[in-house]
Amino acid sequence: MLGYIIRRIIVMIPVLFALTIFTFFLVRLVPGNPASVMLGPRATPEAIASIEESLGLDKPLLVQYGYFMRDLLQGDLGDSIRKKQPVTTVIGDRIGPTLFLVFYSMILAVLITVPMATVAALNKERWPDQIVRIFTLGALAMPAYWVGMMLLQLLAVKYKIFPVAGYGDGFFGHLYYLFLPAISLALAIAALTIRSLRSSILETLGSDYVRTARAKGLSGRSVFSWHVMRNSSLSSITLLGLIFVFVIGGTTIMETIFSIPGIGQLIVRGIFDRDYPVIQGVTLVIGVIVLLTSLVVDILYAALDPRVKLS
Amino acid sequence: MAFDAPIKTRVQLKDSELAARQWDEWRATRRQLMKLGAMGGAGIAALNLLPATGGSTRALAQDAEPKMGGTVSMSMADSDATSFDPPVPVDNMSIWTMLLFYDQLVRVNADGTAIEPGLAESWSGNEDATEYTFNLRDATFHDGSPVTASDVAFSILRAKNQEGGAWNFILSAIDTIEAPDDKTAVIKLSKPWAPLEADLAMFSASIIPQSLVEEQGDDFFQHPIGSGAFKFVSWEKDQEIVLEKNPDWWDTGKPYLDGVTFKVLPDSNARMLQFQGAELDIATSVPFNQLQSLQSNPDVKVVLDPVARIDYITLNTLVAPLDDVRVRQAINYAVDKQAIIDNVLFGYGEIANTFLPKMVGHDDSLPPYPYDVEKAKELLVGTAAENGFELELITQAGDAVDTQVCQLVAAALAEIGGNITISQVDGATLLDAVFSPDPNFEMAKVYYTTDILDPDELATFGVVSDGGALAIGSSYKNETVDQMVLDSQSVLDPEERQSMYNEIQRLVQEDAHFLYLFYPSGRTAVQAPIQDFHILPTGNYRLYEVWRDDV
Repeated sequence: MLGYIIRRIIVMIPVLFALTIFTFFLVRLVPGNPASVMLGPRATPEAIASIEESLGLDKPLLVQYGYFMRDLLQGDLGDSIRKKQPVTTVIGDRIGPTLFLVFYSMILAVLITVPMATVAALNKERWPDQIVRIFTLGALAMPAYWVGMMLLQLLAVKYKIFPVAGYGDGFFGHLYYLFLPAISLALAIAALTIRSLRSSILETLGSDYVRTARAKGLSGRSVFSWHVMRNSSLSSITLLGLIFVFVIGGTTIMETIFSIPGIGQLIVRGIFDRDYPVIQGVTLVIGVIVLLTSLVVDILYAALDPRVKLS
Repeated sequence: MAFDAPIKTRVQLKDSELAARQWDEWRATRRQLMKLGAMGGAGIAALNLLPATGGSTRALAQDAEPKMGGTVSMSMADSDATSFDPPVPVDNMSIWTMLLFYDQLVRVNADGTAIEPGLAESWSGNEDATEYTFNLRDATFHDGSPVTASDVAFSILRAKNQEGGAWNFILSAIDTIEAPDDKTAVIKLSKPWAPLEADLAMFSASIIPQSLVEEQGDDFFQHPIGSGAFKFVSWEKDQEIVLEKNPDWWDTGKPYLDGVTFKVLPDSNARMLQFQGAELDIATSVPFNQLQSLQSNPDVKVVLDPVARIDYITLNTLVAPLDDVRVRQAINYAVDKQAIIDNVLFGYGEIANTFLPKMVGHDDSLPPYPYDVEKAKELLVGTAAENGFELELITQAGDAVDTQVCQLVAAALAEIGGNITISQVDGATLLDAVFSPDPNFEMAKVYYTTDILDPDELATFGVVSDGGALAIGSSYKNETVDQMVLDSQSVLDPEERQSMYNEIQRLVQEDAHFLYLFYPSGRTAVQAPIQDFHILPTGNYRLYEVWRDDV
C-alpha cells in the first residue's frame, strides 16, 4: 500500500513537469504582456522595456524557464507582478476559501444524494422515484451559476436570510457565508450522482449475493446497509473523484458571483493582468490537487472493495 | 478590467479664467444631469457657497448641516489597488484611495476649477517662475510627528527620481528643494514652469514621512502613514481596504465620517447585489441598464456626475480603406450615435463632438457629425470603399456595453456597404494591438479619461503624431495640428488659447481619425442616508465631505 502510494507520487513528477512547460509557454504565447497592462494606454516603448527588464521578461524564454524551474525546485513560485508578493503567499491566503467551498459542496451533495437515490431505488417506478427524477432533471437543466444568482436574489437580497457575499469568520462563519454557493454547486453535483447511485443500487439489489444474504436470513436493513450500499457506492466514488475536479473549476464562477476570495478569482484576475507567476502557480497547485484526488479515489476504492489490490 | 487603466495626465492650470468660464458651462450641464438624476426626490440641485476652503462653489443636494459620525462602505469597481507608494501606481483605484490618506502641498478644489491650499497654507513664486516658496501649516502625520519641510523635499525628490516611474515627467522641471527651516520649502526649477502648482497637487507628489520610509523601506507602503483626512487601517488584498477618520486633520471639522471601507467588487452583478442587500453604501460604475429601476427606488439615490471621458472607435489610418479621409468621414456620418445613447446607455450620455471629453478647453459649439446615410454614401463614391469594404472591429470581451455599441456600429456601417467583423478580445490583447509602437488592428472600441483640467496633455496624447501613443493607435498625423498644439502651450491669454483649441478640435474632427461616439455620465448609487457624495470630473471623490444623516 505504502509502496503503491510512493510509486504513484513519483509518477506525478513527470506529469507536473509537463504541466509547468505547458503553462509557462502557453501564457507567454497569448498576446499582451504584463508591462503593457501595468502601464495601460500610457505605455511608451522605453517604459515597457524598463519594466520588462526589471521583471526579467527581456531574457530568452528558455532562460526564463530555467530560472522558473530553479526557483520552483526550491519551493519558490516567484513574485506576483501585480501584487508584488510571493505567489506562494498569495495562493496560501486564498486556497482556504476555495477548498472549503469545494468540500462543503461535495458534502452537501452527498447528503442530498444518498437519501434521494435510496428512496428512488427502493420505490422504483413509483411516485417517490418520479419525484426524484423530476428533481434531478430540474437540477440538471439549471446551470449552477443561475441557481446561485436566483438563490442570492431571493434569500440574500430579498429576505436577507443569508449574506450577499464574502467568506465569514471562523468555521461556522464560513459555513454560513458559503452556504448559498455551496448548495448551488451541490445541486449541480447531486443531479449527476443521484442517477448514478440509484442505478447502481438497483443493479446491486438484483445481484446473486444480495439474494443469498436475504436467503440466509439477514434482515432487509442489514442487507441494505452492509451489502447493497457498500457495493453501490463504488461507482459513485469514482464519479465524485471526477466531479471534484469539475467543482474546482465551478468554484471560479461561484467565487465571482459571491465575491469569495479564492484561487478561482485569483487566476481569472491573473490572466487579465498577464500576471505570469500567478497563472503558473495556481495552475500548478490545481494540477497537484487533481493528481492527489485521483490517488485518494484509488485508495478509497481499494478500502471499499477488497477485490481491488493496490500494486 | 485591465483595460480600465485610465489615461493619467498631469494637471495644468495655466489660465484660471479660461477654466472658470468653461466650468460655468460645465456646471450648467451638471445641474441638468442632476435634475435627471432625481436625487432621491430631493429635487433640483442648488448652488451653495461653502464657507471653507478657497470660497469654492459646489452643488449640494440638500442644505442641511452635516452630521458627524458613522461609516460607509464603498465599492472599488475596477480592481484592487496595486500600490500606495505615491509615484508608483497607474491605476485609479490606488490613486483615488491614496488621495484620501496622503496630503499634497496644494490640492485641486471641490469643483476642479482651481488650486487651493493643502499642506502649504500659502506660497509665492518669483517673477520668472523658477523659484517657489511654500509655507507649511502646522500639520502632523498620523503617528503624531510633525510634517516638516525636509519631508516635503524628500517626498517630492523621491517621486521625481523614482526609477522606471511612469510619472517622473510631471516633476521633471524641479531642480532642488531646500528647507531653510521646518516650515518653509523652497523649490527651485531648472526652467520656467507655470503649471508647477497644479503638478504638486498630483498624487505622485504626496508628502510622506522621511524617517519612517527610510527606516521601513517597501514595508512602509503596506501600512502607509500620511497626514490626510483618513488614516490607513488595513488592506486585505482583493478584499477590502479600511480607513478611519483622522481627528487631527488640519482641515478642522472634517472628515465627518468615522471611517470608510472600500470593497473590491469588479463584477458589476456582485457589486449591485451587495448594494441591493444594503451591504454596500456607495456603488460606483452602476450598469446603465439598472439606473432606471434604481431611480424609482425611494431607499436609494442615483448620483449622475459628469466625468471627463470619451468613448470612441479609433481608426487605423494606415490601413486601406481607412487611409482615405472620405471613408473615415463617411463612417462618422453613417452611425446614429443618439440611437446608441438611447438604446445602450439608456439615455445617460451625450454625443461626442470632439476628441476632448467635456472639460476645460472642450468646444461645445462645434456640431458633431450628423447622422446622414446619404451623405456617407456620397462620400464613398470614388474611394476604395465604393463597392463595399471589409474591416475588423476589436473590442474588449465581457463588456456588455462595448459589445452592444459595436453591434450597432457594425449594423450601421452595413448600410453603406461595410462588412464589419467584431472580434472580442481580452483587455491585455486590446492594449497590445492598439497602444503599441506598431499598432496591429483596423478599428478598435476604446475610451480615455483624464484627471487634468487643461487640454494640453490629452491633445498631445490623442492627436499629436509623436505624442507617445501614436494618436491612440491611429497613426494620425496632421502637421498643422501638431504645430498648433505646441504653440498653444505658450499662449497665456485664455481667449486666444481657447480659440486655438477650437480650431484644433475642428481640424481633428474633419480628419476623422476616430469614429466619435459618446460622453457617458458618471453613475453612482448611494443609500438614502448618504449625503453630498460626488464624483469629481477627474474621477476621484472627496469622501471627507460626505456624511450620513442617520447617525
